[in-house]
Amino acid sequence: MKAAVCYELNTPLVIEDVDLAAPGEGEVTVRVAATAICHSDIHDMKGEMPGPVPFVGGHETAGYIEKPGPGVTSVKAGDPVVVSLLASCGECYYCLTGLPHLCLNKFAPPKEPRLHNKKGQSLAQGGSVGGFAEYVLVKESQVVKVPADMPLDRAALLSCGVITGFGGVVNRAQVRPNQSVVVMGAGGVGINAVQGANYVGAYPIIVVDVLDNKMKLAKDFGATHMVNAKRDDAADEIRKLTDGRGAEYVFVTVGSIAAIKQGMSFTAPRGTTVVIGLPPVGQELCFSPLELIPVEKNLIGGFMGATNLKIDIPKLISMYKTGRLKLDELITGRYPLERINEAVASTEKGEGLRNVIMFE
Amino acid sequence: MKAAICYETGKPLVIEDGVTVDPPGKGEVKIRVAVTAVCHSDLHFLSGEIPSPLPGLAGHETAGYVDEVGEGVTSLKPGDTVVIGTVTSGCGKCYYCTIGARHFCTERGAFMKPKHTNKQGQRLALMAGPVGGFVEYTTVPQELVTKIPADIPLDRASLLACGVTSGFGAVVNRARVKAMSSVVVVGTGGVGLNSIQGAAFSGAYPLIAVDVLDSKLEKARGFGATHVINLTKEEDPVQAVKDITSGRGADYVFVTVGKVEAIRQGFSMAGPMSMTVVVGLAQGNLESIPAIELIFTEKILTGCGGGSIRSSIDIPYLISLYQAGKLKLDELITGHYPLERINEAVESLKKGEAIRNIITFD
Repeated sequence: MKAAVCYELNTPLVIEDVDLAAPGEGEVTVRVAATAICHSDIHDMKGEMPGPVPFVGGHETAGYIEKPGPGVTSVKAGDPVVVSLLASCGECYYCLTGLPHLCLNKFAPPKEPRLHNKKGQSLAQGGSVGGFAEYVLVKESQVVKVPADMPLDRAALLSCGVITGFGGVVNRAQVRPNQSVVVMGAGGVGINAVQGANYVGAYPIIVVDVLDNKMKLAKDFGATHMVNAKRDDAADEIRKLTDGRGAEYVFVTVGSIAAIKQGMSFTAPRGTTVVIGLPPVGQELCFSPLELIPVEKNLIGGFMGATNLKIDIPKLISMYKTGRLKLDELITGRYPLERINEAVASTEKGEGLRNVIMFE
Repeated sequence: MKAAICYETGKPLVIEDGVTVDPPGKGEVKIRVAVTAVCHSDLHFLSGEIPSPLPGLAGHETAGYVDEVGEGVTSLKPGDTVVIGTVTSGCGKCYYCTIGARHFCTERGAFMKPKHTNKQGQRLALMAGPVGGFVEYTTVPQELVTKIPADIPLDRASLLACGVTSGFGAVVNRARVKAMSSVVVVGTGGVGLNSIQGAAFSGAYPLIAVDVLDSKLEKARGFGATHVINLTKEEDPVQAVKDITSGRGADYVFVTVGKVEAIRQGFSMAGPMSMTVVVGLAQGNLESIPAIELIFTEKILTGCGGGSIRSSIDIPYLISLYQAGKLKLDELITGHYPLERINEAVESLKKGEAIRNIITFD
């Protein structure tokens, strides 16, 4: 089968034939229909996140079950599925208490490498998926069956970008009606945080970015106000929009330390700054505790939208089908695997929300 | 093997030899019973207050040793020390398991299949829970079995199968009582004392115990009650609660007595924005709550079965609290009886003389 392999950081991916192992106990092989490019794929290709090289990236995947391994009960061959990077063991404290995204074993590597090139060199699976390939081999817990009439390019977006933003607001922060929300960054994740805030009745919903055209798009997803961080005195603008207090929730979807610090300054007393975007590894956040104590601000992280895949993905799909969740508008371009480097370049430039690699 | 069988409700149990138990099937575990405590809900079934097919086998606060495991059981092996709970740890696959509310597992209804046969060849229905603990061996689904450390006395451990967890869990898991909020516990039996213990553990104040016997109320003080109300001596118990709670009524009321009148009275003791939790198995209908009271006071009336516990998490946790001296179990045990004298143990509980009587098999 064909895959796009990253052999060297910051160089184009190599499209070549590779070998994938057969599914073991509790594993499934999925024939990939679509894999969207996420910004964290770009982080991996630039070496901003630690990870083994060579690897096959891509983790926002949907496709069809090709072959279930022994002991797999929740899906059968032919089932359309979303594939996520979120594995869960079903046995640890967090799995037992309904927080499988915090599974203590979620990043447990497979017993043996599953993917090799024709020279026999093992290739890592980016995000435990490796979706820039015709087939992926993942754990049963990483797949969720979806209805047959769900378009798989849109379904693929649910496995990471949509849930990280939407779930960050709805599951992690549990924003309530009439609470004020700032979303920093109007990219693939940020726009879904805006969508989530709109869904739960937040007001105002203030989007902060440096590109006016992206913020205009955010308005279509429910943002009520735009603040251009470059042009305006952003903190001042936000205070004006929130009765002088700052926002009750600030979601930082931009992977930058400066953005987190700025986000904290946008947050109201007793408000919460939710860090979602992944800053490059090694960079540290530095601030005076006095920014927290006299105003009792909370600073928290949000991982994968605190998503419970088996419950949330089917719910999001029915919301999409009934017109309550926008997915069509998130896709900027569709590319065959052969043109993946163009798609990556476009994502890196920040031209679109999501570019999707199509396999069928 | 010997068992204490209920052939007729309201009559003494019949101790009978020659009973057999099914070998463990897929996902099942056969247990050698070491101890089974007598719970008040056993009495509800044995008296016929709650109907059940007969002949039947009651007893559900059980601890013992794994004797044999069925196909597909991987987390337990023969010799393991275990508690058999009444609350399932869940299939792990249904909606409720997936969101972490494993006590609502949709598969739990399948657990009530009889496992024992008497020497006349009659199957023995399970009474008062899915365990069938008044017998030397029983076979149960693995979801009901929790492995525990070998060094905890099994008579104490058996109480964690139901009585302790129902009372403690109603406060800590279901209501999530906040520190410094006021709590009333109606009934200070095996479950009520544990609600008091849970409320004290959560930092509730004031913590008001309500009962009809001074001796029980005195015991409740030992478990953390800060105030006591004897219903037979207090002319207006609802007013008495209000007097202790700045005139408002309690923030939380736990009704551990299985009577609808007690629920009605407990609900009256609860203040605006409060939560009343029905824990005792009351038969009959609750009729006299004015709808307008709900609207004007925003009171919540809810229930809790089995303490809403996550068995595989909470039972080991409670054991570690016991071992650290933060959970009272020793004080809950009134007497020990061999299976042959089970009817004495039942009578003593019925009279309200005992908190928990333990049937021993070792």
